[in-house]
Order: sequence, then structure tokens, then C-alpha cells
Amino acid sequence: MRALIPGLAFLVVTATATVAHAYPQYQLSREQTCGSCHLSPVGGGLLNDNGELTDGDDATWGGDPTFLHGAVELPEWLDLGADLRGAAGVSDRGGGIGPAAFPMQGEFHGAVTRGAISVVADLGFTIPQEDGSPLTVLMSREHYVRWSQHDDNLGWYARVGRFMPAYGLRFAEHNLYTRRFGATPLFGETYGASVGWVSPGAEAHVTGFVHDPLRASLTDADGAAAYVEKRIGRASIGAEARYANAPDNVRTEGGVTGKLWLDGPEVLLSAEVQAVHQTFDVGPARNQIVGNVVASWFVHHGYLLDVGLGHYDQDVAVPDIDRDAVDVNLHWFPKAHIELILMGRVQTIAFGGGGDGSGYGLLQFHYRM
Amino acid sequence: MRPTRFALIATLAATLGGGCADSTDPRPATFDVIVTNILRPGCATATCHSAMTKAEGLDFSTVAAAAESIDHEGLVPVGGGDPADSQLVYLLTTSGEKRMPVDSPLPDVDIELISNWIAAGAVK
Repeated sequence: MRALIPGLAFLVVTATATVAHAYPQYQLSREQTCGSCHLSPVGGGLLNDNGELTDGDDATWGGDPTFLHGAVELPEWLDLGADLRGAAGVSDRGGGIGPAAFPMQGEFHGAVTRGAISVVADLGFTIPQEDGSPLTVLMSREHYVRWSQHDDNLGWYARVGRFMPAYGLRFAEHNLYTRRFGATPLFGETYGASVGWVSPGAEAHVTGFVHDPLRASLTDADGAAAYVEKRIGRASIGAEARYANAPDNVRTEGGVTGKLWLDGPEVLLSAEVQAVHQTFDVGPARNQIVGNVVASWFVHHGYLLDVGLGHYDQDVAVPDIDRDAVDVNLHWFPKAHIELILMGRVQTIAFGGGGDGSGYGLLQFHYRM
Repeated sequence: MRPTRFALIATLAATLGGGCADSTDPRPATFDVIVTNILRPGCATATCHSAMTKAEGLDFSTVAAAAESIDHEGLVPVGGGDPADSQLVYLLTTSGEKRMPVDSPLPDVDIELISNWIAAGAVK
């Protein structure tokens, strides 16, 4: 029998890899929209001028936050960047703690903008398919054409191509339950067309999507997703809905989000709950509940502390099958372009009564070119 | 590996047998349910046993692909039998670097359902 002992690096990549995404912690705390700091109106990916300035301002020791630390000046119509990540520490996958060290992300981003139209693409490395071409080590998660009504990313936008539909809170950490078991898992991008509207007081996004016809991907479904969010002072409420029709199952899901900025302690509370009804060609249907609550505290200049609670019930009809997680992530931005994250997680099944617990303690290094 | 838990699961599976699930678990111990409810969401993640990566040659993203992977890698004895003889149950219950899945152990209820399926003949 063939040995089934994948390398440690590969294994933990799965558990903790992170892709370039948004930091919604900044939204209400700075009274910004996602598009205030990112080129994309829905956040994630390349930063715009304001996003780069924020990166520099928030760093403990400052620095030049522009592309390649200012060594190369790009023409106004061109944006380039890259994200490199790796982590090391210990992990417990159930029954024992062991060392862990692994690469997480190597991804390049580019955008060409002419007037209201942008062409956006990324190219990164992933684990090559076991029995496929060596070229499967390369992966473009996103490539699309976008139209924006205004330069400041407010107003209407539309995009066509391969991307992650806007849905929910869109945290960077893909292992949050609402991402891992919800509608936006790692490498969950699909081809699709999206239209949306963003203002300082509200935003709405609607996406129709189809599975990737060119390459096997994680989301092998066709469907639609929608997300709306309304701000009320320094708080917001949101609603989401998604329908995904895959070859042997259909997921119908919906949820709510909420955010509340507390000025005194400078803490942002974020919450998201999703309900999923899943039917299968064969076998009984099931209903799932998945949720996260995250408190983000700007501890000190250059430091951000996230404390999160997650709950996932993979089938509400089956007892002792639900999982809970406590996450603690301390972000430090020592200099522009650089982020260090001390990450910890403790995870239980049915509060310890349904199986082995697990967890990790890792130090992640992130360099943004 | 926790011998106590493994023995308990194996005993339960052998006792129940016949494709019957634990009385508190309403799911039938069929291969379709095991793949769609357990193996795919737990194991077919982006960089593991999904169609896009097929780590270790295993693809649990569909029922057909999972059947082929399990047969090809010999994860379950042909015709089922004692779950304790199954490489699949071993990987789900052992400790250390071999333990699967990597990001979160499966609930005992899920492992029990898989054991029941194996004890009942591992029909795909």
C-alpha cells in the first residue's frame, strides 16, 4: 500500500494558508469603504495610493510603502505587486503537538487601467496536481475586466472574469469557519459576472457564476451570490444569499453580518452567521449553521489584535458533530510592506465530547511588494 | 493513536454492522453519504484531496472519484470487514503527522459512520 504521509509543509499549508484579501478591520474604524484602500471596489488584492499611505502610516517604523519601496516608479496606468507569506510554529492535528514550518503564498498581481476600465490578473504558486502537468503549480485565482463609474471606487462597478464573488465579511483569514465551511473557501474563485454599487453609507453586490471549465477547482458549481450592507453610524448590518448548483448537490444559503465600532476602547466587533441547506442527488438533505464573531483591537500604533470565536454545525440533525474554535491573531506592522502575525487556535468538537481537539501556534511572515 | 477510542469505534461498528448507523445518527451508512457529508467537506480542500490537487493521488471531490481513489490506494479492504484493518480509519484516528484531516479531526460520529459502512461490506 502506498504510504499516506504527506510532507509537513504541504499539510499545514492546507490548514493555514492565506491569500491576499481585505482587512475589514479598517473599514468602520477609519470610516472607509474597501475601495478606499484597494484598487478593487470590493477590497482585496492590490492597494491604491491611499492604501499604501495607510500601510506606511500604520507601520511602527514607517517606510516607503510604494511599489518596491519606491525604487521603481510605475506609470499611472499600471499597478504591480506581490504577496509572499510563510509561517512556522507548532500544530496539533488531534492527539499530539508537532513542529510546523511551511510556505503559504507566492503570488504576483497586476492591473492596467485606462479610464474607467481595468484589466486585473494575478499569478501565483500552488501545490501541483499529483498526477497532472508540472504547470499545475501555477495558478491564477483572479483575472477579470472591471468597469468603475468613478475613480474613487464609489458608485457603480461591474466586472467579468474569474474572481471570488463578494459575500459576507471577507476576512483575510480563510480558516475562519465562515470561509472554510461557508461560501468563500480558499481557492473558491469562479468565473462570473458581477455588478455592484458602493457608497459610504451602503453597498450592494450581485454575482452570477459558473464553474471553471478549464481547470478543476474547489467550487464546482454554477449559481448566484448577493450581498448588501447598510451603515448606521459606526455600525453596519448586512445580508447575504447564495445558490450553488454542483453536479451532485445543491447549496442554498443565506446569512447576516454585523459590525460595531466602539470608539472608546477602539475595538471593532464583527459577526457573521450563515445557514446552509444542502441537498444531494443521493442521500438525505442536511442543514448547517456556521458563524464567527471577531473582536479587533488596535492595541497600539502598528499592532492589531483579533480575537475570534467560530461555530460550525455540519448537520444540525446529528448530535455531537459541531465544532468550535477560538482564534487569537496578533498583527504587527513593523515597517511598510511587512506584517508579522502571531496566530493561535484551539478547536474542539462538541466542546470536547465529540472527538479530539486540535490547534496551532504559528508565527506568520507577510511581505507585500 | 488513542487505542481506547479506536477500540470503541471498531466495537460499535462491528456490533451494529449491517449498514445501520448509531441510533442517534439519522444518516444512513452508505458510501454516497460518507463522501458527500464527510470526506468531501473534510478532506477535499483546495490543497489536499480535491480535484485540483489530488494530494497523494486521492480525490474525494465526487463519489465516483472517491471510489476510484479508495480502491486504487487500498484504503479500505475489498468487501469491508473489520474497520480496524482499514487504512482509512487508521488515518482518521491515529495521532501525530499521519493524522487526517490536517486542519480539524473528524467528529467521532463521522468516524463511526465510516466504520459502520466498512463493517457492513464497504459497498460503493
